[in-house]
Amino acid sequence: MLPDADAAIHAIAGALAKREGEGREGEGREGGAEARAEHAAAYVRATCARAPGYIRPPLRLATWGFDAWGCLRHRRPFHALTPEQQIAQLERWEGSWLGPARMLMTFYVGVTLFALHEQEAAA
Amino acid sequence: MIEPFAGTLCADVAVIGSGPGGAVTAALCAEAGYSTLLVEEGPNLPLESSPHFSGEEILQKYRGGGVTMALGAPTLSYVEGRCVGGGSEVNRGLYHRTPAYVLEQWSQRYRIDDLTVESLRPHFEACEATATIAHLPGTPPDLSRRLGEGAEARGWSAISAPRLYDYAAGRKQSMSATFVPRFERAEGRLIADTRARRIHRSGGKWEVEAVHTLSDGEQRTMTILSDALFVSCGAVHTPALLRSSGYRRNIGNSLRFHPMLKVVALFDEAVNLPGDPDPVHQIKMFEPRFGMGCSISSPPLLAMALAAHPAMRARIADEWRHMGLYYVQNGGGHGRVRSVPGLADPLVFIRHEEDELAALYEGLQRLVEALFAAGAKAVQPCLPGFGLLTSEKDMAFLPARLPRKSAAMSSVHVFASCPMGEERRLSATDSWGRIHDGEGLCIADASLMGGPTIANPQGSVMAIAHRNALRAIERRFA
Repeated sequence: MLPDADAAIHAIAGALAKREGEGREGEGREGGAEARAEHAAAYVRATCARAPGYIRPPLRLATWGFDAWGCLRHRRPFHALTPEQQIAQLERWEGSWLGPARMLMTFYVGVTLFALHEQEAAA
Repeated sequence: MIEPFAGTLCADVAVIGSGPGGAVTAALCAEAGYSTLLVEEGPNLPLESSPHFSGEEILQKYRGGGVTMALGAPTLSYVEGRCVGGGSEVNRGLYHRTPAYVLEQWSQRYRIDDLTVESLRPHFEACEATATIAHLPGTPPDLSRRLGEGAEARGWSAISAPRLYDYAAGRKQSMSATFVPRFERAEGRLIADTRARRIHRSGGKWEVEAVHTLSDGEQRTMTILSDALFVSCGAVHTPALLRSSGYRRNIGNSLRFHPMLKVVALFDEAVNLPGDPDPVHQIKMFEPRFGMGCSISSPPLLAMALAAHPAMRARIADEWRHMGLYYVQNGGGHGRVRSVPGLADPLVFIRHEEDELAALYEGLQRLVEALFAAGAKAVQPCLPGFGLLTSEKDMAFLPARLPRKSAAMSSVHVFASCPMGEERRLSATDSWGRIHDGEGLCIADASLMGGPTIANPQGSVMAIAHRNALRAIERRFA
């Protein structure tokens, strides 16, 4: 399986939807995690598609690199990891000493959480 | 609005950009009897086309999906409107006239003729007659009131800021709801979804090369010919267009921002209720060093602000009604705008002086003090690496200086990239917005400002555009 930026965006949204929903399964969220992740991923993709030309290519490359990073540790790209492995990689990058890695996560976490909470507020 | 068009359009006056500067300028030119075209890069959407501060609105009306940024150490994310009405459609509409000391500073630095509180007064009044300015009637929301109480407890003063808002009608006073309809009533022609790529002078007229995007995404090139031309694309895209067109002298070298840091305060009582009006309190007594205020505090915006703080973020679902988002901002950060061949969006670079960051950080600490004085039981600075503060004593654990890698700054105001004045070493235009040696080419937007206002700049942009447009009309655009 090869690294894929679009698949990584979907997987990041899924992992964040799971992480943010942990411990709150009894609140009508059962079965909704995939739908919430899909909605959030669609919003993140729409945001990326509108991003300025100087952001889109490096963002896509960095996202591909994030997906490929999973191969180093698990021989599978991020989007093919288990949810637990995905959350662990997200958190490693969130706390990375490398500024660009943290920035990438700040972007995805911020936009994805915005979409997840907006959907929840609408519901 | 005129129909999609390929070919050549002619007018006496063309205005590129329909934000507060462009819309005011276009309305006055059309009312003076000139055939006027108002050209907007973004879509023409009703003010109510999407909920305010929603994801849908960000995708529809913000430039770059809301992820535009100035590159530097630290970087700064900023937002601009990209739709008919520009930034006025997406902001909160908080309103201030330009303070006297700010006008004095600009006038001295750039030698601007006749720019005083008194000389601007009729222009503010004229704009305020079209776009209603009002104070919130009744009691402000608790989220807002708390900041005022915190200031009072510290012995500081706070104000309840007026807004461009018609409270009787329950409607924001954006350009699409005020000056653009006025422009159209004067038989002005609006063309949306049309991006100006280059301008040049040809045969005694201004020629604008533009691309119109149809609803199916197909693009058609077009040319706009006019006797007079105003560039009003905002403080980033005005210099980008001008530089691409060969105008470079003091263009895009002095971009300024209002960099902002945010905190989330948690209160014992619910302060943030669904349906509350937007918060309006501001602490202005420390300006220009820094100013403070309240932000929109919906759960999605709280979540985004707390992206680096999972423990506090986990409380949003159950406790968001007890949370408020507050900001401190100042006039730090010095930027440059550079267009790059092949890229539609210009690059923006920013550098921050240590004393500017120190002032902003001091403001953050004063804001935390005010919020604890207002009864907050915890305050989370929205800065990576900063922990939750559970009392004022915890402030002793804050780093002595704001680490650059933690300075997560944003700005909703950009301006001053092409300042006006007679000081040719520094200014891009004369005192009335005409580009030096530009054969009458004018700028009419926030680019003309001489620096930060700390206060919300939309009123200043409208009044200066009004002043300069009347002058241009009086001189028949000579």
